[in-house]
Amino acid sequence: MPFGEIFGKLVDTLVGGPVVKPFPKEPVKVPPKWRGKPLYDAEDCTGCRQCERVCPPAAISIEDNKGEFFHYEIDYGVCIYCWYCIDACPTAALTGDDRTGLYVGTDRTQEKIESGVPYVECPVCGSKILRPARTLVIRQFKKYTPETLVRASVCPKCRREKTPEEIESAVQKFLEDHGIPRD
Amino acid sequence: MSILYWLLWILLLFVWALLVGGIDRKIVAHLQGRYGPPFWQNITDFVKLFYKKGKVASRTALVVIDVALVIGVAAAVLALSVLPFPMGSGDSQLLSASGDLIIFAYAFALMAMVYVLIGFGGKSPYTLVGASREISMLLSYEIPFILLIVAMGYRAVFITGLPVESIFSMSALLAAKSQLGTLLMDPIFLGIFLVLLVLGPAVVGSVPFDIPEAETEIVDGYGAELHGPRLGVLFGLKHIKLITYSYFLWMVFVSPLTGSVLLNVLSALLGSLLVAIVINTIPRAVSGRFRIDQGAKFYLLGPGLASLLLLLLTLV
Amino acid sequence: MSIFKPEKSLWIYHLNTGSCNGCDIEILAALTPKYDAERFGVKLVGSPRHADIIVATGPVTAVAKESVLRVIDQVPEPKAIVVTGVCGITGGVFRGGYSIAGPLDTLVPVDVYVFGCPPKPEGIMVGILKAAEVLELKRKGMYQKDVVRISETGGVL
Repeated sequence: MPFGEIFGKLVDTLVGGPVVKPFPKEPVKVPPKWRGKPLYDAEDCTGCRQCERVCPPAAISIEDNKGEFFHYEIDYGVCIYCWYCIDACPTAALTGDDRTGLYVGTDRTQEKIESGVPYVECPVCGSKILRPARTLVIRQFKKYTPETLVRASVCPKCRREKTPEEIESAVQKFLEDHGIPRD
Repeated sequence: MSILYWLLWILLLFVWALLVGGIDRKIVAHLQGRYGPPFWQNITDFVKLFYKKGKVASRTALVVIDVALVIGVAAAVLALSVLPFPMGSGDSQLLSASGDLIIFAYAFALMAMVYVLIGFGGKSPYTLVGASREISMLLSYEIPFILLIVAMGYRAVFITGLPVESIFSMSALLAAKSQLGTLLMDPIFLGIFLVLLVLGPAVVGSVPFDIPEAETEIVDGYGAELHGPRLGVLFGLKHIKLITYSYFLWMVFVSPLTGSVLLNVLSALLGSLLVAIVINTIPRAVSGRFRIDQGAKFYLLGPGLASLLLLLLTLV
Repeated sequence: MSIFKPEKSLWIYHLNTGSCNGCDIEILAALTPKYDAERFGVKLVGSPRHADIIVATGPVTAVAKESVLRVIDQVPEPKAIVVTGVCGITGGVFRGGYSIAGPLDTLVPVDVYVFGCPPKPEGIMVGILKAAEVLELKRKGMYQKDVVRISETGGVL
């Protein structure tokens, strides 16, 4: 009899008690491998624009004013939290928020990241290049300090055409001129 | 003095009807493994509806709806006025006349007709479908209901030996009850009681047979065009219908007689809650909604034949 | 007296304006025993005329636009509109499509936004409870869209 089964289930439920999650009293628990917001760290960004290219809903918008500023923006009102950008990022500038489950607001524009990477001067020739990513600096010099940042900011053209001695003396001069502490 | 008591009693019964609705939601929630709303939730819902202000569609015939709601409230009061109410020693009625059992059955049919009127007044396709479904439900459950009322009248006269003029009167039933202790001692009355319980979900419009107000199919059926205070009155009317039917079953068939007013009132309230749980809550928790042809077939074949049999047994 | 407080009774109307069905499933999940939104007096109603809160999903498609506006017009005051999912907020992946008549807040004032694709059922519950606060402010005539900022976790919780 299906009715007998139904009544049995009802009695089981009554004895077992409610299965409701204790949500409002306790903060929301997200499952493992939960995909929340992608978070952007400008220090790690190389400006390769891979994230912009793979983003399915085009939530990432980049405006590159050459020589001035690299504007970077994620609109979470468009983002579908697929984390393609995180997979595509070669320098781990994008990391995923796997803790927070709820984004609720009364303002549509509140859920947005507006950030960017500044352009820095090449210590040798003085041309403007995008600030090197922290990950790349650490890969080359094993540490991330003002001095190693200056050493990493030598532009590709100078690396190709100048000798290591010329670059070293130019870097030393740049460090002295700008009063950058040495390691 | 008696009418004052009665008015107080009606007011208490209305608040109790809303509370029964909330307790019903709470029980269903616990049967489904939830906590559910607080048991006074339906009072909050009822009060909230009087704060709302909306726009009325130009096609809606508001006059019909207003008249229908007034008729509905009047029918509810009429049904409650012939039912016994707990006062002093034992039960007494506000209005007692020969044939008041017929008035009671008529009041219930009137309440169903109020839903039909509201549906036709709405003039939206959904309300019209809801109204026509209410008519088909009414036709299918009203036949067994009337047959059972007739059987009850005959049986009460037979048991008490009262003159035949007091057939179809509530006082004969009450006399039979005081003679037997409770009407369930009599096999025929027991059968009538059980068939009336089966009729319950259709009469009060609860889940297996809430076909006229199927909210997922025809957006709440006959009430789809109502909002604000008018919806509040309809909301209250549905609750008062449930409590009146449960109260009728409890007071006429089961309720034990005691000398104390307090005990009588308590027994009436708790008993009507019990009957409401049986005819409203448990079907709602275990069953889905039927189709209209299934509902009509079920009531005409099951309770219809059973009530015919009971009537024949009574006459023999 | 919280018994007589109208904001303790929230009848929601689920309005699909052309959604992919993901947010719709999450709205229904918020009403299931695991999340049990009925604890807060939430009830799903079939007719927009009975509703207090509209929970809208989907970018408004060109075909649905007229019906959506009519349904929202039928909801009695005071009402609140909750938009669920990024499609309803900006258009999401459908943004700029030829069949999209713009996100909902370009057509009617929207009170609460629930971000996510789809959002968690808890998020929808928090959105509905925030809409309850909006309803209370509207009833008292104190509601101003630009001024009000409701606490992130919801004070009523």
